[in-house]
Amino acid sequence: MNALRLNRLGLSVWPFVIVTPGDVLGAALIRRNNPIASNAPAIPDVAAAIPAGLISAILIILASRWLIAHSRSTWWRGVPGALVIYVGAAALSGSLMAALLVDRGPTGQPIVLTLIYLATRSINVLIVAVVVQQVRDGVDTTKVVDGIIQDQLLLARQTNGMIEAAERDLRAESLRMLSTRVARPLADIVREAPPMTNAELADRLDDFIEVQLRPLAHVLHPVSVRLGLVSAIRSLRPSVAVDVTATVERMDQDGVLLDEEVRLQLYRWIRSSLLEAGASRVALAIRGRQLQVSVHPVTMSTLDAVQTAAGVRELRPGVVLVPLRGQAATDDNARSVDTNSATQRTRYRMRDLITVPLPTRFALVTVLSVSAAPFQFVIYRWPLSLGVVLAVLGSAAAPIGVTALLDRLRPPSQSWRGACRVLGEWLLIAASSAIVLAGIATAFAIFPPGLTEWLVTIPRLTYRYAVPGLLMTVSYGLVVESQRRLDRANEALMIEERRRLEILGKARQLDRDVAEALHRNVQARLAAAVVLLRLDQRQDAWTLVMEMSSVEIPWLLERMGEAPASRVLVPDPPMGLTVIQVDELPVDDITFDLLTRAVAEIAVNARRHGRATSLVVSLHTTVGRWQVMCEDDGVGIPVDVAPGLGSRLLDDTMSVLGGSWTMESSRPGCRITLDIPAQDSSHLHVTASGLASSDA
Amino acid sequence: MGTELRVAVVEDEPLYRELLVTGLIARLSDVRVVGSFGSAEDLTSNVRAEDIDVLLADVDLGPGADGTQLGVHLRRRNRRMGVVLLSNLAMPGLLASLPEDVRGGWSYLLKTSVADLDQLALAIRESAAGGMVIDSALTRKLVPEQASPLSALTPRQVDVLSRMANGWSNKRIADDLVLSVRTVESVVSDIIAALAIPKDVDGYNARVACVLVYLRHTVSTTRSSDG
Repeated sequence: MNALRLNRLGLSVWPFVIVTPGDVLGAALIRRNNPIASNAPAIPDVAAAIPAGLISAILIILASRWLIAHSRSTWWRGVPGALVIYVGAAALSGSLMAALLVDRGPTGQPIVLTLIYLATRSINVLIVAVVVQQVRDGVDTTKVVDGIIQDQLLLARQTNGMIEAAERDLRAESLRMLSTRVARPLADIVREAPPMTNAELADRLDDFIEVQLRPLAHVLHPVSVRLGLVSAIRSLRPSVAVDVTATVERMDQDGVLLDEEVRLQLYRWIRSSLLEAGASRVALAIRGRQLQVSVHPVTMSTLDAVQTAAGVRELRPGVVLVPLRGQAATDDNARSVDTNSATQRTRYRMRDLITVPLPTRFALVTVLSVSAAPFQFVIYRWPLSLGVVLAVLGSAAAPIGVTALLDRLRPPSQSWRGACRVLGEWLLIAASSAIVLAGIATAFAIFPPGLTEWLVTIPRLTYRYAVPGLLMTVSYGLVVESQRRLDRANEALMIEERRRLEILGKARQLDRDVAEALHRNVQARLAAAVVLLRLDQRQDAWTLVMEMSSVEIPWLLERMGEAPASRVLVPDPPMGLTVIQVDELPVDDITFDLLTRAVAEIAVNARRHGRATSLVVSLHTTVGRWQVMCEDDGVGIPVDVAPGLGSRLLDDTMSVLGGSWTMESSRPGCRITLDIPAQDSSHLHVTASGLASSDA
Repeated sequence: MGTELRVAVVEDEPLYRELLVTGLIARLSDVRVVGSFGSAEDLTSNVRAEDIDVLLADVDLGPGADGTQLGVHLRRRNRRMGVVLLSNLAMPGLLASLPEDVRGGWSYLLKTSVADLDQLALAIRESAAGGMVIDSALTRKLVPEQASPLSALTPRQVDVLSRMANGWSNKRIADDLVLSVRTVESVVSDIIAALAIPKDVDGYNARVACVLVYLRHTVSTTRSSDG
């Protein structure tokens, strides 16, 4: 029922255009049957009445729109105002038609009949107006949703790419520092140690800790940041002045000022401003729900993607804003996406738009039937006879009954077959009304002999029921389709978001691991070694130093050397296709490259031949085998599935990998499964550590 | 020597903790270790604050509460408890920015300095008595900030103040600077006057108040190869 909730009602000429064919058929019957018009309207009258009714209604609608656009009244812009205008336009144009069609004879007509006619016409117009509005809303929503999806996905992917690049740079820099400032100096000490006395060696190690390791606690992996941003800044550079209120400093120390990730990335920005760009003063102040940090003199230090991802925003050069703790960074990037930019055309396929709005359909048929009844009386003789009453009531009850019966069937499928069935159902509903009416009318001799009445009644009632019904089905379908696209988009965005969190999480974890190891393990043990040496326990001290030099530090270098593993099979999907990679593939680089080529080819074909809009890539494991499953939502396997370039490429790639591929129809779309031998992940680890140790 | 001091140790690196407890504190005659723990949570779930005279804690304890937070927590439950922070980080300024109600009675030593048993013993005893001991390896490198209350002090007063920060008595300062005890006493009163330390500081003495001002307004000239 959601689909038919009326939030707004635009003034459109379409409802009048749509009811006009019904007017034509109705007028034809009135000309034949209307008892009031004793000399029934001539064909020229009908030919004049129909355009007069349509044009007058259109003029009224256009005039109302112009007036509303130039008026300050908000009431007329709302749904009630639109309802009044529609009813007014239907009544005025209907009166004009009635005057041209009916009021020609000397007998005149009872006012009540005109009123019935006008009421029926108004209801018809209103029903169609509401349904037309729903269709327009559905189209708009789908377009906007499509635009948002494209923009957000693009943005998310770009951001992730930037974060990854920044993360790689950071890691490379950290690795370099670790190697030049820890590994090498310590190796020198170990080499030069033998002739030194205990006191000399203790001094040398103490010096190493003070000159190399301790500053690294503030630089490479700011352990000190955990103890508070302000104290970390103060320890960073002796001469720096920190302007901060006691409250902010207290909050900082208590760890309630900033989230950990924010604090770390803000600290990195401050550090580069102080050490690289030469600032000498830092000011921190709370502004609303954010912390404003400025450095003086203003520096050229810019934010990198990791800092931005954590929520650090540049206000102007030298000034940044970060969210206070618990004020999760609002995604300004996502918000800045202009929804109006969604101008690209969206194509709809009928089968996507078939849905089953059963209660809505039942309500619609009931309203149509009930509202039609008085008008049927107008058409079929006056005063009442038993035959007329039966014919009118029967023609109203039949569609309701048929709809109720159709309710009991299984819902139609989202396919061409389903679309045909929905169309057939509406025709059946309409035909039931027409057949009952015509049958009873014939039986009671209300219809004159001959086929003419039948030939006019059946299209008239079919039009009456089927057009609003089908329009409503489409509008409902559009809403459901938008929802589906939105769900799919959310899924894709969630995957990107997960990827972002994974990259940041891995970076943070590695940072933390290395920081913990460097500061707590290495530094604490070296401190212990210094103490032991001062207590003349050289043997124990030496064991510790050797352990650092030959085990701990190489392990750290290895950890730092590992690249962040986030690998996307189709980094650049074809236009119009969203590729959703559910699993990361833990395969070696060569296999990954080959799979990338294969899946990229599958993506291109899914878009080109299958006209798919999304492709989901997932990994399934069985004993000894891995299956990379690529499922699209396209038209399925094309009939002319002659072995083309694409399938040859898959054949070749799979034979190199010692695997195979299969293609089958899924519902909807097509599923291609790449079957390859499972890889032992321990082998991958060896590769990574091999790389790292050769680096060290 | 007074009564035996009960010391609790919190240090996350097991090897260093072991060295600290058995290799160093065990040599101090008037100190008894009531427990040694790997984390703040480990300590709080095993020992009551009232049973500790001095807490010996690493500042950075990894994930969870750090040594400073633990000290503040316990101190609010036992106002007479002293805290000796041990760290690899040269951040004695931490002590000057502690919450008002728990200041005084905190010492700060570098992990590499604990081999100096005299200083370790002094830090434990002074903290228990409400005084402060800042590692001399750190104070040697602290210089007064420009345009701070310390600018009002003469170089001689700064020399004396930095030794007060080491927890030294007037006698020891006098010996070190080759002055008479009386001279040092007068320098100390001058410092207290120059820094405008009020007579009745709540919870700690004027000497500690001077050290806090000193920590707040000095910066470290730590050598570093960082560019």
